[in-house]
Amino acid sequence: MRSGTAGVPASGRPLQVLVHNAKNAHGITIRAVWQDAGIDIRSLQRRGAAGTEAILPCGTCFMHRAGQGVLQLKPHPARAGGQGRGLPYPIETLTGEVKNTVSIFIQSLINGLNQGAIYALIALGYTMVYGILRMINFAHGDFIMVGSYTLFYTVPLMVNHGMPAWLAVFVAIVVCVIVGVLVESIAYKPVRNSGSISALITALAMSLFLENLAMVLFGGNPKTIAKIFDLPLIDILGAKIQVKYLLTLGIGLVIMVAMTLFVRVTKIGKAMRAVPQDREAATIVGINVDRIITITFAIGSALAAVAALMYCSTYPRATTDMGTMMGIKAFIAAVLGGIGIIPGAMLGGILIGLIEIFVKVYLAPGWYEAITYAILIVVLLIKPSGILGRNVSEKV
Amino acid sequence: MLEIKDLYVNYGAVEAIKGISFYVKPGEIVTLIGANGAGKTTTLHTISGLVKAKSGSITYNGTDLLKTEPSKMVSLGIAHVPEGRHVFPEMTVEENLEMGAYSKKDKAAIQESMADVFEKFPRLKERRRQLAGTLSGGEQQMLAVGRALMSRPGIILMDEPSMGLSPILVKEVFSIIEEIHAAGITVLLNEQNAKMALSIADRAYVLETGTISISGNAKDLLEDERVKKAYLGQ
Repeated sequence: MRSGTAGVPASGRPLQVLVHNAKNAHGITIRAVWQDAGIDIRSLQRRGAAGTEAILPCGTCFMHRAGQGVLQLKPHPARAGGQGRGLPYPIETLTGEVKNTVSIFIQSLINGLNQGAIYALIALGYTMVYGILRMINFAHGDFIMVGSYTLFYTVPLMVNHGMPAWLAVFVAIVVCVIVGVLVESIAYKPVRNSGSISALITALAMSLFLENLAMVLFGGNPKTIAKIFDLPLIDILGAKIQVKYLLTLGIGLVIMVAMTLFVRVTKIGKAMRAVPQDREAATIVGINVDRIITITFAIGSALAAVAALMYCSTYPRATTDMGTMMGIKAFIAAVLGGIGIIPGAMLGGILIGLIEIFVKVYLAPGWYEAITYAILIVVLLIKPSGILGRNVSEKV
Repeated sequence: MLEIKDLYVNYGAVEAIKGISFYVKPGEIVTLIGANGAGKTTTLHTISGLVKAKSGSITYNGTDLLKTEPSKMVSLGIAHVPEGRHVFPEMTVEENLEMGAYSKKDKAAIQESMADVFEKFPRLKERRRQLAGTLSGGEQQMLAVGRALMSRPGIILMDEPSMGLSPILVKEVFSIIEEIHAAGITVLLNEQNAKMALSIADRAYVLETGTISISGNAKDLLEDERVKKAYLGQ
């Protein structure tokens, strides 16, 4: 082990700084402050030399053998408030601490589960709509964006009225449900019988439309969402765990179980299963197919609003294009788990979240998306219907 | 009870039904016989609202069916056993039957209907937890009939119930139709097996390329030379 260098106390313990979820290609600009000395973190990784700031690529991960203390990473002042790129990412995810291997593992596990639960909630929306219409609703990711902007405007309202900030989710649910049902009835219904390509193109068009509309309504600058949960950090074997991450995971699991029971037990849930199996038979037993499809969109959109809440509590930022990447990830999660299958969405989401975080931390930070997709391709080569999917040919 | 007047139905540019009129009285078994493509299934689909009519009228106990939502037919008392069964393959037998009572709210009455169906079809009771897609063709036909009965219908529209079944099962299906009829349910039966259909029906209509060519009492039609030649293979 090399000795510590300028400004960095020497010690035998590893220092890891994890910057994850910097999603745009330019990375994020941050300033590293180490014991009041500005340090170039990149050089800190490479040479351990003092510096001031560095532009970090996506998923940057630093390992350094250094002393005790906390390495604080702050947004670059020039970029803070930014130009729609990169900033501000939540400081907490940029806070590096002196950690041991176990705590890094636990931290990554919890981060991955949190990330995964958010993907899972979004994937659930994809899977339910796919389940009933055999259609990929590419605008679903944008419902998260709608939910996030709703939260941006309503969270301060809640707080000003002395209510808990998270109650804003109910406003977001209402807004998302309205948007979801409108999208379905105005855009999708007219092309429902015109083939899957038409439906696909319409969905892509709706996605772009929502993004452009948001651009017109809210402008291009990202909006920073006020703090939603005021929950503590807890210490598990040296890892600092956000309680809200556990909350996200819990909410994800509860919703998955609730949805599974809903489609198994309730009349409407059974109708939701019956419609895709045989639409004609569903009609003759008295199921109003249009109504069931509307209900499905409403549920999917409501779940998107909940996902927006959980996402914004982790990454408190709304941008007009935030839905695209998240939508793609969640769609992949749904396919990985077996699209159309509710527990599959949860499983796929959690897996994608875990893979992403663990690849970032342990393998190749800049490659996490490539590796995630590669795993997806391998899984689909082995099992085309997804992990929980049954390999049966579609019945005519 | 059910009255069809001057009905025209088009499939795109093709005229599938060209001005047919017929009626079904309460308590009757009426059969539509005719070759493949004569328009039998189209007729039943138009009554159920699955296919839109071009012109004409269909009334059921005074209600204009052409202005009724397809999903509302069953609450009027019209049940449909479609051609090719159309059970929900990924649902259990029990769930399929529950779907048959989708328009009903009274849970106790639904349970009672299910008990009745299980009594009529013990095979279904044995397989109540089995997925419908795994049943044999005959069992699926029983299930489709049972599902229709779950709605406690006034009239059952049956589309080719004997199709694809072995001769023994065909006999069984027809005896079930007679049982249903004996229980007071009116039956409108589409059947290619003209002999069987005419033997249990009260009246019959012969459909030929979208028009009714012959009609009358089923017994008379069994003796009709034209029917004998074209549909009874004699």
